[in-house]
Amino acid sequence: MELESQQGLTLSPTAAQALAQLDGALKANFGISLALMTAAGETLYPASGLDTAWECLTLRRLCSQVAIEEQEASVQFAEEGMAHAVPVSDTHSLLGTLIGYPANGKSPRPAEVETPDVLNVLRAFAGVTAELSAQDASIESLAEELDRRYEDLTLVYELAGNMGIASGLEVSLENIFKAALAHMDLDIIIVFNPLSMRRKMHSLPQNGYTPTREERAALYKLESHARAKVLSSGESWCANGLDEDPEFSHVQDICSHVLCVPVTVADVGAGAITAIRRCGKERFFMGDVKLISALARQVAIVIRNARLFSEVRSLFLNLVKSLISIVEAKHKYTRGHSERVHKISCFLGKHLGLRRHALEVLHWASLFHDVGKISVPDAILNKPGKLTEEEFDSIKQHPVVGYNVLSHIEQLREALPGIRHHHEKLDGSGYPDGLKGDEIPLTAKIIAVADVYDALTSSRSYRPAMSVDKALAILHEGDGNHFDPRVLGVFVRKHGDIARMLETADSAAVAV
Amino acid sequence: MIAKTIVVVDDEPHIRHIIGRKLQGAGYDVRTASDGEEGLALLQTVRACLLITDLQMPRMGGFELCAACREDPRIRTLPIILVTGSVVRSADVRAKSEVLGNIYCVSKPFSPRKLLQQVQELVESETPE
Repeated sequence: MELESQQGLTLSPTAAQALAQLDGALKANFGISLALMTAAGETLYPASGLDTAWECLTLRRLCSQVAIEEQEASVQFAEEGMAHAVPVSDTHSLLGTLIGYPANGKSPRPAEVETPDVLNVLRAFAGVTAELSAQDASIESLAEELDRRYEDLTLVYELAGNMGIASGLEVSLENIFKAALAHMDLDIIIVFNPLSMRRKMHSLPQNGYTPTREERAALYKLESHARAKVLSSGESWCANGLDEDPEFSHVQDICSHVLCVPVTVADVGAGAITAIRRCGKERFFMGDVKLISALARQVAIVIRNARLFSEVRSLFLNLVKSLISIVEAKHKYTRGHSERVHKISCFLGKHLGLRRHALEVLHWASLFHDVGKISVPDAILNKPGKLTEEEFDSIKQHPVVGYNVLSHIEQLREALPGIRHHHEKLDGSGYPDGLKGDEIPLTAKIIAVADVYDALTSSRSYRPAMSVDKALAILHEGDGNHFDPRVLGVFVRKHGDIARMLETADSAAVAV
Repeated sequence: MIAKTIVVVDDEPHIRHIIGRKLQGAGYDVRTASDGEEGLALLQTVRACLLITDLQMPRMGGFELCAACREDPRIRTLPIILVTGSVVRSADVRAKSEVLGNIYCVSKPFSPRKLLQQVQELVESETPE
């Protein structure tokens, strides 16, 4: 079904059917044919058009007369009789004209039918036609609205899926803006993040537009302008048709409509989201303003959550460090050991190509790997000579103790295997479970290398610290039977960087 | 060129309307039915290049309709887009769809724009027999 325009006269299939039925009845009984024309003179009924050019011309002239005089009109139609036309109008304006004219060679002759009767029938049906057309227009506008609502709803669903903090602030925001760019047919979104006080431009290459350097500069300038307006008023700002506004001549070729809304993050401050559509795209409507405002509220929550999350995380991290320093205080030789093993492990993890989540697990496992030493008596930890078998058994308990103590913390559950197994050896001769090869989690294999290296290069109650070269030689002996060759390989290749990293950390600690 | 025919089956008139409107706007000939039985009868009379059906409908549901299509040699390989409600267990649906073959799942609420994209990809990639 092709629609004329939103306000024009439309003829739905149902209305066309009703008109055809009436036409048939009038033709058979009174020799009268019906025609329906739009205000512009196009023939809507009969769908096949009028029979002759002459008919067409005469009826069109009659239509114009109705349109100009805004009242019913009649005209002599050849020798057959009279053609009558009545306006089809809604409360505001003329939509079209309904015409009754003599049908060819039909009997009874239309001349026998009284003009007032014909006009009465036409008037009644003109009213029905206008009513049906109005209903069509309203159905169409509802359908359009529904279509838009469906798009909005899927966008909201997608946004809700991005509320998690596990994926990190930047990733969450990126996903939110990608969804908005696609759903709202936007070309550019520029976000001013009140937390970082920085701007970021988002665009979707599949939308067919990637700004050049110069264009980016012009768009940023436009964003500053829009943001200044929004932040001073606290309300959204929308400008459609910039391409025709001399004030915006610097962005005329790249952007046509701009919409900017504030992003207010509690306890942080105010930022803004600026959405841009290029020339030829639809302007921003009220619905767009509402949707972008909803998006801004969502973004504010994501930013605030990220901030709260980082505060809680740093509190937790500091508590952990205090806990570790309590454990290390028992043992005069191991001060800073956990922190160094942690640093080396994270470094190795990154260079082994671990993903974000695996690195997070390694982060906690390496910090906590020796926490179980809290159960080992001080006398054993600090004993200068060789340990007896019982004493060594007591030390061997520490990975299991650490595992048990921390198993109550749900958030560290994934870090537990790394803690429990950091003394396992590839050939199965390690402790506590004698795991072999791939049975040992990668986290534990990484911590094992870092742990042994740091132990060798630190002084102990029973021996002084070794040189880096000697430590490397000892590590090398364990290649393939104690240590994972891949982890050790990265360590050996990067040991220069690692030594430097530890040195700078040490001197920084001294400076504090 | 003759417009390609797509059959849309859903018991909710507004869904039929919204999908029909979007597809017609893109130049497709759209035929609608309000349940699986009606949809199957329609598929047997028109030469459709795609079926879009709701999952949960009275009388004959989406899966039964898909299964019935696979029984009929004329529409055995017809591509089908299955629109599922948000409450339906998606793993279950996916497993069943895989068995029947050539079924693509879309969950409600869907984006009409994305649905049209998917339709175009499916219909335009289809090689004529």
